Amino acid sequence: MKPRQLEPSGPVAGMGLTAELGGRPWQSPPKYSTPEQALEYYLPRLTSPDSYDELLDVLELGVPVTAIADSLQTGGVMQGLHTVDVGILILPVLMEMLAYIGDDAGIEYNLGIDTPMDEDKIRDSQIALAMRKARERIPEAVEDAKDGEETEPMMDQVEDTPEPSMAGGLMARRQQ
Amino acid sequence: MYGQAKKAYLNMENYLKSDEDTKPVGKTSGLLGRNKQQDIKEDMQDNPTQRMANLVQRIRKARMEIKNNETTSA
Repeated sequence: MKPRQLEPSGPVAGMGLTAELGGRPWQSPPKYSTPEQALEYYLPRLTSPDSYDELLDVLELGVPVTAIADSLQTGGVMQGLHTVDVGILILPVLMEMLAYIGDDAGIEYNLGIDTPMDEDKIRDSQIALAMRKARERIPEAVEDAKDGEETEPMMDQVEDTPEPSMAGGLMARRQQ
Repeated sequence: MYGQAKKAYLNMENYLKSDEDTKPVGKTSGLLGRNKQQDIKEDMQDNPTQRMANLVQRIRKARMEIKNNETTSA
C-alpha cells in the first residue's frame, strides 16, 4: 500500500495541539471588543504618513481594495486585536475608507467588487488537481482508458462480445 | 480568495438600500407600555450593522463631495 501523501495546503494532523489552549493571540479575549474600537485602531494607521504613500502605491498598482481590507482585518484577528465577527463588520468601513483615500489622492483604483463571483464555476487548477488525485488512485484504470483511446477497437471483437441483458434493471448483477 | 470582503461590502450595499420596514431588528423589547416604533428605532441605533452603515454613509458622502469638486473644477 502506498503511503498517503500530505496535502501541502492542509494542516498537518495534530497541528492544532502544538500550542497550549489560549497560547495563540486569537484564542485570548480580543483587545478591541466593539467595531468602533477596532476602527479607532485601523483608521489612524491608514492615514498615517508612514503607510499613506505605500498604500497609494499599492492601490495604483491595481491591487483590489477588497484584498487590502481583507488582509488588514485578517491580520488584526491573528494578532488578537478583535474577533472575526468584528472584522466582518468593519470590512465595509475599511473598504470605503480606502476608496476615500484613493479618491482624495486622485488615483484610479480597483474596488474589487465588479468581478462576478460565480460559485458554480470550477477553476482549471481544481480540475487538474482532481485529475491528478484520480490518476493516483486508479492508475490501472487510467492506463486502460488511454490504451482504449489510442487503439481502435477491432470490429470482430466488438461483434463477439455479447451485449449485457438489461432485463434485471440497472442495479442487477451483470451476467458473465 | 477575497470573497469575504466583497460579500461584506455587497451585504452592506443591500442593507443601505433596504428601507426601515425590511431592515432586521437585533432584539425585541416588547410592548410594556412603550411605543413599538420607538423600541424599533432604539434597537436599530444599537445594532452594530446600523452603526457601521452610518459610518459608511458618512465616508461615502465625503467621497461624493470629492468627486463633485473634481467634476466642477475640470
